[in-house]
Amino acid sequence: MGIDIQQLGKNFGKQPVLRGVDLTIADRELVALLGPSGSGKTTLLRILAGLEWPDRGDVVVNGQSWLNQPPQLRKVGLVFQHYALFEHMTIAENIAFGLRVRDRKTRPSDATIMAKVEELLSLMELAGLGQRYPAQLSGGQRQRVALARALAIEPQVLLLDEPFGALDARVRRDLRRWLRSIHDRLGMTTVFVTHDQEEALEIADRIVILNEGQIVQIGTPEEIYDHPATPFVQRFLGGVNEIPVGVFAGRVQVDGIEPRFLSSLATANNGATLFIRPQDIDVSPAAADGIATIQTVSFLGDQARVELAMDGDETIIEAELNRVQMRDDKLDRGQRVHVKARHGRLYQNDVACTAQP
Amino acid sequence: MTDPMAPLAATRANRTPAILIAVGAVLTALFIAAPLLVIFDQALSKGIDVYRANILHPETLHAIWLTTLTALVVLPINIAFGVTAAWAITKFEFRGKRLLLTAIDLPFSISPIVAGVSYLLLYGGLGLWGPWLMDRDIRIMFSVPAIFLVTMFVTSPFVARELITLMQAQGREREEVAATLGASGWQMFRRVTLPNIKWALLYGAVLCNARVMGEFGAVSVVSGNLRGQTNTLPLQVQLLYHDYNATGAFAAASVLTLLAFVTLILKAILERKAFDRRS
Repeated sequence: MGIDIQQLGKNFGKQPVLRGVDLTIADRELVALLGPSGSGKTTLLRILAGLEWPDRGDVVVNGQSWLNQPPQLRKVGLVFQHYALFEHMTIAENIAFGLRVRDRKTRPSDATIMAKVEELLSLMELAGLGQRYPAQLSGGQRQRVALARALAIEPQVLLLDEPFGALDARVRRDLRRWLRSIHDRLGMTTVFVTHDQEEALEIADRIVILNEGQIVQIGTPEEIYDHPATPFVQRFLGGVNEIPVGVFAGRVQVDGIEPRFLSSLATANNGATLFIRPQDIDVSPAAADGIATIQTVSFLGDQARVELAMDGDETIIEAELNRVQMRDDKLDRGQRVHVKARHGRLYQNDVACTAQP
Repeated sequence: MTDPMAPLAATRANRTPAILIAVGAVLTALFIAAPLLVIFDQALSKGIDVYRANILHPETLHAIWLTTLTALVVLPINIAFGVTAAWAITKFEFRGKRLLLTAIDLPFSISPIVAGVSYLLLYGGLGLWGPWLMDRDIRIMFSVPAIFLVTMFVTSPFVARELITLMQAQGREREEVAATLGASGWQMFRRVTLPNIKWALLYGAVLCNARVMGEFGAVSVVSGNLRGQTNTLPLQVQLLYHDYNATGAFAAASVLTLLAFVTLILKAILERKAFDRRS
């Protein structure tokens, strides 16, 4: 089921939380709402669920406004970060809840409900746990119960609010892949809120980046990662070096880094900011002619994060290097080095002004 | 070898709790146990037959009955009020929520005597609505309804206060999920909210009951102290005492004390159940 969000605005008191959000979500699409806390992403999700109402704008589904529908009639499945399971009911009763509360005319028979519960338990890899209570399950299992409970009503739209935020890293990785496969198998429209860019990049069809109640960028994970529209997006997608540079006669001037990828610049002479991801920086050993000194090395596994103190103004640049290569090149603290950037993006007045090489 | 500081640390660690426990025990004995013992000692000072006769005295029996009746009338009303107020405050957003919260606490913060007097000034013969009520032959002050009304006022916050704290901590996500799953307001309350608050609700009701039965100040202002008609147990105790009938007074007091014990035992059982469920 497609959802058309039009000019949505909402204030909490005097504080605006949504400032004119326009977004069209296609049928069967998996969309991630990504943003820092306070960006309005959760409010947007809650408006879709029917738990908040906007001050302005509309949400249109199947040609009809959703805003005069209470949550009970929207057929949305809702999953919270902390599961919100009914602690006093067994797992089976939790899952059956949405079917049991229907009025007599539309309520399925007990046998049908039990069959549905069993089906969902096995789909969620929870078979045999139906008679347990939520307190007896692990976090990952509880979140799957919450998902099963939401799916029991066969929702057209599945809404998840930071669904994996309370789980440890391994379970989180497993569960998000698994969410993607459930989404593909059942064919619904899924919207999930997250502040974890890795999660959004991995499983979403499209990512909507929000900041201060406005959409900053919409795109596929590749588009977002390769062409961040603003410095905000670039920063939000992960650690990045920001280097203030001068632009002169269409050339970026930055000591020693040789931004070859910036060969054809058509921009006014002005100050700009060059963004380079740590993994896009090459470091090679140098004798006295280097332009930087390795200041710290921290362990990341196969990679190491290296802080480089640039000569002159002593700007610190972070690079992520392969540890095997570092050993071969004898790169360690105190070593003089050459620094080259393979990739980077230039922003002037918060607007991207480079094409990719 | 052993740490030279160890023996010192050990004695210190052993002695401090012992001293604290001793202080606590002595204070409890002096200020809590002794007065309770005196009640029973005095009540039984002229023998068990006099004690029985004192309790079976029609006026005292009536006071016991009136106190029980007050609890039976006031408790359900205050439970209903407490649950609805707590539900509204913790699960919904609305205008005037803070005002309602403050209003709920009001009876806690004003003296029961003041509460009694203000009821007198509203419903009494010389009060604001008194003449209007009198014209219609409705008598509220110095009668049983007055006792119900002021007791209700004084004890109204107990259930609500107990529930609001718990329900705020529980949040409203469960109710929100229930709503998206199609549950109506009543189903949401009955199947999701109530099972999660039932122990706190019972606990609040027990506290409220203790206060209903023991309330003196407000009731003494509005009841009119008519023997065998508008005297609750606490008022009867005072009356007998002023009549120089100390044994009678203490006999009545012993009934109140026993009621308090029952309440305390109930409370202890409920607390244990609630604790078991949480752990």
